[in-house]
Amino acid sequence: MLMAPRLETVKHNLEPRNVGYSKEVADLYQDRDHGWLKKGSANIFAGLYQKDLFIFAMALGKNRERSSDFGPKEKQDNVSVDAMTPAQKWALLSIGIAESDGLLCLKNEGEIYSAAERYAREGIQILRSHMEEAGPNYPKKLEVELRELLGLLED
Amino acid sequence: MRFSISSLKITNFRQYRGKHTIEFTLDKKKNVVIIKGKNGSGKSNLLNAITWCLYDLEVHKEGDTKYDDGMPIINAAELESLVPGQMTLAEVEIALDTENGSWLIRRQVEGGKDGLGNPYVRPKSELTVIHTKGDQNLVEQGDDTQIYINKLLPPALRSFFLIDGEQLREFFRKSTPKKIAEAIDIVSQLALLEQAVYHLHQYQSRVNKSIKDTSPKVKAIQLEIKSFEAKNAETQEAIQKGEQSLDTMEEELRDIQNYLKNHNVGRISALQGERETIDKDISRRNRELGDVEEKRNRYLVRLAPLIYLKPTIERALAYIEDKVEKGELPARIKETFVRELLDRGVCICGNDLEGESRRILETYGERLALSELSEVTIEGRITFGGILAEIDEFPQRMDEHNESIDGLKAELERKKRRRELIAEEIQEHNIDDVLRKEDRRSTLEKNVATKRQLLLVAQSDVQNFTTRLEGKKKELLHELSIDQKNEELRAKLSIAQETLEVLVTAEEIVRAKIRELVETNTQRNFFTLIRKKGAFTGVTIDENYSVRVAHVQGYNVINDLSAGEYLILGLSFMSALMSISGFQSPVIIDTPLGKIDEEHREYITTELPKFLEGTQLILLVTPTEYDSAVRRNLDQFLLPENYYEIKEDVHGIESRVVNAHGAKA
Repeated sequence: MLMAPRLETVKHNLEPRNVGYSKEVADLYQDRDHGWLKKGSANIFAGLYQKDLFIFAMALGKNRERSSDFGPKEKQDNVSVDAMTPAQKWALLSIGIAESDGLLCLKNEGEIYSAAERYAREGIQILRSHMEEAGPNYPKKLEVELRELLGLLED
Repeated sequence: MRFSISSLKITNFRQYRGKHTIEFTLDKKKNVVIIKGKNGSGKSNLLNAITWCLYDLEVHKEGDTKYDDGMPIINAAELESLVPGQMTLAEVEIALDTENGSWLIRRQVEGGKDGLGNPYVRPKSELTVIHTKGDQNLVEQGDDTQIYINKLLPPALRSFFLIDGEQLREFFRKSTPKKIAEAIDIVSQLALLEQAVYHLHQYQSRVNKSIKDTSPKVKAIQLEIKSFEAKNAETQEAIQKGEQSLDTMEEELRDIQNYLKNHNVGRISALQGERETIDKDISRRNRELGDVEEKRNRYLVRLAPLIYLKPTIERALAYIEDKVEKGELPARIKETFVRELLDRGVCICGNDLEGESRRILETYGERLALSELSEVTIEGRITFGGILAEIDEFPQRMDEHNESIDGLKAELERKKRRRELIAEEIQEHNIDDVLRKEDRRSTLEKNVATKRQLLLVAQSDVQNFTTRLEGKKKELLHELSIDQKNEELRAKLSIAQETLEVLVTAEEIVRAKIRELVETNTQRNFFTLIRKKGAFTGVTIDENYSVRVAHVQGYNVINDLSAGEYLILGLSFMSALMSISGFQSPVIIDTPLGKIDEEHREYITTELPKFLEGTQLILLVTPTEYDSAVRRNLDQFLLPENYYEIKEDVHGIESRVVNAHGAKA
């Protein structure tokens, strides 16, 4: 597959953090003891990055058409869009294109980021309930769900 | 502080009756001291004399013990020779040569015969330290004197310098990640940080108690905090006890396995050998299964968002395709070019842009609004195409992942079944002691598995309590901020909480850095000391403190090393810890070469003194260890006057140490 070249030249830790999540769920986004990204833990996101969890939550929120606004001072911008893979970035941009029925939204990506954050805000809660419900069987449950989604879509 | 031992004087200690002096001549290059003695002649008691003098402890094969049982610490014949009411003492005196001048450390314990002629040894020994400060000799005695020794070489680091060779060889054969982590924690010297964390917790409790006239909600939160703290402490205590009991069970299990493996009935020994091979296979396959499952999970997490968004992506792609089809993308003329022409008001042909021509150009410009996005949308078109192609492959790729997982699970099942058959065959031999041991082995195996699971649950409980406790503390801070009169208390708690978080993070960082440093140094030392350098590719200590020795063919051979390789790995690890600890003490090894094959002996005795150049290396060896090849190798690092032998009396009861420089050949 031909991938677009990555244009950023700045170091990862200096990259701008353009999207964020609620402070309430900040613990889940950390590589710490209780965070889902904690390396070596049994979580499906163990060892991954904030951007991976953000994109996952955003896509799940969008799939369920569930989004919500942030309260005042609730959001903290910690995720870098520049650090995303082209597939992740275009998955995010696809929301803007599909919802605005056009491509002009790409001239102002900030608005798409806001929409993505609102979906991720709800998506992370749905994800939490899925993981709590399935426990260690979550990967299997996810696989079944994805197969169903593809099956339904194919129908 | 760097130091060496310049002399060791022993009086009436264990089998050393009377006064014995060993002088050590210090030399940076010729750093080896040899004390040779037969098994049981008193080599280990020389090491014990040193640890007793320094720490009031004797290091026996079974671990650290005090001298409250068995043979008395004062020479038994000396005690016996006393008349009722007469007293004597055991004494060890170590003279040190330090960067800050000479030190003398003396420990003595009194004993004798009471009026009825019964021998006794006083329970408490006396320590004296004489050290120099400027031109003065300072004499320290009394309860706090131990502090001086602990500053010289902290007790926790003792086992890295005063080493029992057999324990060192067994270190990596028997050590669990927990023991490796403990050893690394000791040199990380996190005690200061841990103390600070402890004091901050105490401070938080005190501040919490001082919150008076509270609202019912604050009171309720305080009660919850108290309850979580209590549950946390209780569970942590249970974990500590559980881990100790797990260690004991695992030790017993290993002993039984060794018993069966060395059984004189060949078939029993072979079956146990096969079972151990299967166990290694099972643990390797389990790791592979973990890796394959992780790979599957990574794939799922990468593809799931794309599948969730499939309709959205298809719709976005359709917009781009539509524009391409209509010829709007890629645009042949840039919108900026048209805007420039309109701004300038002059066409490229030179005519003024006015009236109808200007209106036509303005309409055209609006149609070119996408032109600036040409490149970026083409990039999107390619990426979307790639994403949809990947989604198409999803079912097939998942089938492949599942096939690998199922294959490994089936193989694990086969191996477990074979294990059951081995247990049955061992029992069919109907040998009493084997039946008993096999029965115990089976029980222990189940108990170990249960205990591990319980510990995991308890550890998860602690995590859970900690998260909820942190949540409640934040809630309390919030509640306190509502009422202005609590502002000062809220500020205090808030600062304490923030400092705690910083300290905990700092602790994690220090621990991780030290682990990486130990890993790097252990690997470097291992490749310096090991003979078959080409057979291994690396030594790693991962984040869970599991040690892996990578064979050139990719296998982890940590469970398959020879005695010599285990010794080298142990020495490499200890040496890494020594250098990181920053303490520079003599290294004393009791029986360093026992059970080591000839080739490794040759290599260790050539490389170890060079490796520890500048560090005094005292080796307590048996005549078998100190064979002609070893002697030849060590000679270049040994001053003749640093060669001693332990001589026993005709009955083998009493020993003396003699400088045997003339008797070497």
